Amino acid sequence: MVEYAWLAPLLPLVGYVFLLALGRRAPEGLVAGISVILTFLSFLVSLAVFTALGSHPDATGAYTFRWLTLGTHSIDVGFQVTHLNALMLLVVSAVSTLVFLFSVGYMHKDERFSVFYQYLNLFVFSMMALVISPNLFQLYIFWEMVGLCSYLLIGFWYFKPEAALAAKKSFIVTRLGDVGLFIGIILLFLSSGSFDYSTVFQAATSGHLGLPWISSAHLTTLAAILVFTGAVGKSAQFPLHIWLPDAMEGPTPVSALIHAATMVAAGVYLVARTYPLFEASGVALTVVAWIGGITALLGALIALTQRDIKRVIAYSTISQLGYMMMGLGVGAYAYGMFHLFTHAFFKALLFLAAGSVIHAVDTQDLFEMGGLGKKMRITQWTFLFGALALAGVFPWAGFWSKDSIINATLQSGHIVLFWFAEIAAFCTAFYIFRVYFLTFHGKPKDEAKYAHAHEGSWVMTVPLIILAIMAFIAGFFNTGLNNYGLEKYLMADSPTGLIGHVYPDNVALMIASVALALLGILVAALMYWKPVISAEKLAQSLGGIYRLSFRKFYLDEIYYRLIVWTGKLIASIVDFFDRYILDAIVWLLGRAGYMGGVGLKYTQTGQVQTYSVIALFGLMILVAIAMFHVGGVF
Amino acid sequence: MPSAINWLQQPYWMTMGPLLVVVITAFLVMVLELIFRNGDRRWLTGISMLGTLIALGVALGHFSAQPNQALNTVVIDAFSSVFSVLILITVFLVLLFTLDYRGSNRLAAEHTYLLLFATAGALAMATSVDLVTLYVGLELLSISSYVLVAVRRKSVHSVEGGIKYMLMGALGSAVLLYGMSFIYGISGTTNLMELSAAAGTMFTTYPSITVLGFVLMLFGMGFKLSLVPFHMWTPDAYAGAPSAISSFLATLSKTAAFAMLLRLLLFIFNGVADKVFFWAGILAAITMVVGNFIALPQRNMKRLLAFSSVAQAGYILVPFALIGASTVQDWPSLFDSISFYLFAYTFMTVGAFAVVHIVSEQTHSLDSDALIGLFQRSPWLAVALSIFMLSMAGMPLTAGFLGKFYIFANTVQLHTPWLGIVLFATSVVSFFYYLGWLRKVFQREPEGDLVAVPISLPMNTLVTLCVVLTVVLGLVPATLLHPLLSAHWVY
Repeated sequence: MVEYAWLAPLLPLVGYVFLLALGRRAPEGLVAGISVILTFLSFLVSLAVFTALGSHPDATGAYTFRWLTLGTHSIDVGFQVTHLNALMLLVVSAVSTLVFLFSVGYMHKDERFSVFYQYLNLFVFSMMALVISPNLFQLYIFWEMVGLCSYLLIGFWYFKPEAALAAKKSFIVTRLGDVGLFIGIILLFLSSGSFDYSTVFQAATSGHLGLPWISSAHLTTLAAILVFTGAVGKSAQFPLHIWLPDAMEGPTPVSALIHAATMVAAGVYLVARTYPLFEASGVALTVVAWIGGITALLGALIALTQRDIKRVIAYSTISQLGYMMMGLGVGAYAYGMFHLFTHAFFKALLFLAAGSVIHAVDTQDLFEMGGLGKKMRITQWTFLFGALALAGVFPWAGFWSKDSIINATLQSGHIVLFWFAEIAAFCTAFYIFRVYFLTFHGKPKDEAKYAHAHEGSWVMTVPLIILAIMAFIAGFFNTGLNNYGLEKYLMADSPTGLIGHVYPDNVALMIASVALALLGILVAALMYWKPVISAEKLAQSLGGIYRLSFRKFYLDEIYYRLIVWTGKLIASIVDFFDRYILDAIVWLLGRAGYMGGVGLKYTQTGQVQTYSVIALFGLMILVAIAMFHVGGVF
Repeated sequence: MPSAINWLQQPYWMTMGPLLVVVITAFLVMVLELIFRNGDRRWLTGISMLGTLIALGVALGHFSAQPNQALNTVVIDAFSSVFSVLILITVFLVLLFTLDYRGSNRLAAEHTYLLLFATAGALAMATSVDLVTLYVGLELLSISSYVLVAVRRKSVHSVEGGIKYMLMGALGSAVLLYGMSFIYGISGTTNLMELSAAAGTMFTTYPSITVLGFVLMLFGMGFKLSLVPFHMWTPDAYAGAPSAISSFLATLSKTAAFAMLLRLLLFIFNGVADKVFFWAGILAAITMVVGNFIALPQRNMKRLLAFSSVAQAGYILVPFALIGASTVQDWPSLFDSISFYLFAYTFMTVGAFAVVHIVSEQTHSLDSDALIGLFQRSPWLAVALSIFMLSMAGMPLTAGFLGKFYIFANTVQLHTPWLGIVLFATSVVSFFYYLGWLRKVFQREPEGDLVAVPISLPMNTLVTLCVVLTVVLGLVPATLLHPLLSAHWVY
């Protein structure tokens, strides 16, 4: 079955081409039907591949053919299914199918319904192709393609100026990281002579990465950190996290699919995929851990005070991606990926439930909602499941995966990062239940909106229910109940232990974590459900700290001053140079060339006599020069 | 029956297989043409295409065969296989092209077998290793081509082009023969294998005569390849001839000439390559510069394609010239570049001529303004033409880009960057006229009434084939490069 893994990305591509052929005016039912069925088939393929690999753990070789040969180097294209890839395929296709179904209701009567599904199909294709790429070259191509799809979908409602701006911002900010990734890939290619993962890892672990100007160890670290910059951009890690909250301008299903479950996890996937490189350079791994830890804390702190429901969840995504990075960074490879797996479900669930709310009340401001639980039972309960999973309450999915990471952080001796993670965990429980209580409990703040609120049709509720079930059970895939199946599955990629460690459960820590989460929920309840503590007064008494969180640590402003302003200065200098100096030269060259052509045209007299004279004259001159050059005649 | 198959499998027949099939088909068509004088005789073209396909099958069978020689004159080796295959594919495309001429527009029926005889000549140029046979092949190709250009007897342009082509062609043949006679004079043999062995002594004994022989043969072939300054007949002949014949001249005739040039000069002069091939580099540079600049102000579409083909021949001459700077180990990579570019060049050129033909048939004008608004009139043709133009200009993801890229990489590897720089700089110039067409294609037509461009089935097939081949070569170059790499270039 593994050799048919290429079907998984192909099916959405077929869907894309088909929708393209149908055109923009195709009926909604047809468009959605094709898309949902094809992604579902793709999910079945992924599931088959996933299980097939479980029974044949050594079927992870690459299937490639030669694409291009340049001197001694060659570039292959094809696909490769490792255990990591198989897990990603499964996550991507599962979430895609549900989001595709949900969008039928959410995007109903949108003028560009068909275009929306085209982009989504293209995205799913690119994402799956990225996941099963056998080399860095192919990965980079699809890396850019998912970036492009993300750009298109964030700016889907391009007539809203915020959406257009957000699309631009996300593209430019992730591009900063991509440049690093690109340089990293080129360095690896130059030093190892290949784009193939296996060759690069071989060279890195045996210390054979070499370039004249840098030692092998330093090069490994440099390349790993450059690759990591790509991941920082894509996975919205500090300091490049600023694009993700703005990306919430896109339609909510897009936020659920691309900006929560799949594309933003591509950065985590990239680090996991190139893990041997990071292991070979201890420094790079530490950098990953610290960036991850800082991001986890920063995201959670900012999420505490945001007023927009989607932005809270977006900051939560940033924070959770930080956890995954931290997990990878402290050596807990399997736990990082485990958290990616569970997070995909409960975060997609939270976004879709939020989408259901937005669909019902047509606002994203938390303080215009309230009391919606009575009108939207299913949304309320599913959101609650997602929130419990995110908060890390036993036995929901997030509890198992997040706690494994925190445990690994402690066991591997990163005490500071451990406290970062615990504080962030407390904040997480607080902010998500703040959203929950503000949305579904209390009195409606806006009667008009409340009156018009209603539950969506089955296409919207069924995905919510399925995801809620997954948010509950996904954690059990890696517990004593199934003999830690997921981590064993993932670790099968490298039996020699090149990919990190696993740790035994720590019951004391589990109890402490759950207690912390419950404390967070309790505080949220006391502030927003039964208002014992006044949120306004607390905010006033905390003054500066509150503003710091609310203004997102002023990072956007700082970047604006620092980077955008310098950029504009440089741009205006370059613009002057280009406009008045380069353009003049180019214009002159162009004129001269054209006039030269016109001049030559006049030699083309149409007289065959002229032709022969010129030919013979040229011949004689050239022969004479040749003879003179060789000597012996004159 | 088994004995017949056995007989057909004799190496003797296999070696000359494609040539024989084409000649037999040509005679067959000639006779049939005499018998059936009336009605729509395009089925003759069908027979010719069938014969071409059979010959192509035989030639493909040779692809990975061990080098083999028959009658001391005809060989199978990588040169012969690669060039025979390309020649046969080209003639198939051209025959498909001629199917579009029907009714009052039809060509004199002789064109079918003339094309086949020309192909036979071209195949002889690609497969023989004897000066005399090579020359006979060249003349067979040339004389058929002269007639083909003048096939529209009633058209002044057609006849004028034919006459000019013939006069200049005769001049070229004379120069070529003159060069050959020097080489024969100092070596006493016409067999390339023997000449190859004698090259070292020839050069040490008669250096100037050897070099003279080389440059004269190079320049003689330069007429056929329309290298500057021997190119001046090109626009007149291309513009005068029917488009199908122009595309034939631009592709098949050049491929054959390149095959012969490689065979001739490489076999005779391989021992002294570093002393003589330098001159081809000079010619390549002049051709690239003049060809591209003179194309800039052109408005007539076929004349522009003619100058573009002059410039393209200059590009292909670059790896040829690099033989002088290389060792035997580098040769396969140079031959790969030459043949890859020729393949790419053939598909995009035939395709471009096809689109120009369709458009000019509708508007009765060869001025490039006929392209204005093509995107609205026929989006498919517009996209196809864009692909051909971008490929000729050398935009990435097209066959033309990779072709140029390989050549450029060769110049860098072999430490002859100046040729690479000329190639690069003149390619930039070529963007002006190639993209100038695209601007017109996508420009909106001012007048309101849009008439869709009619496309006949053969032309649609032809354009589709060319688009597919150009795109496939650009996206998956390994489909062609892989067989090229496994061919036995050096023996």
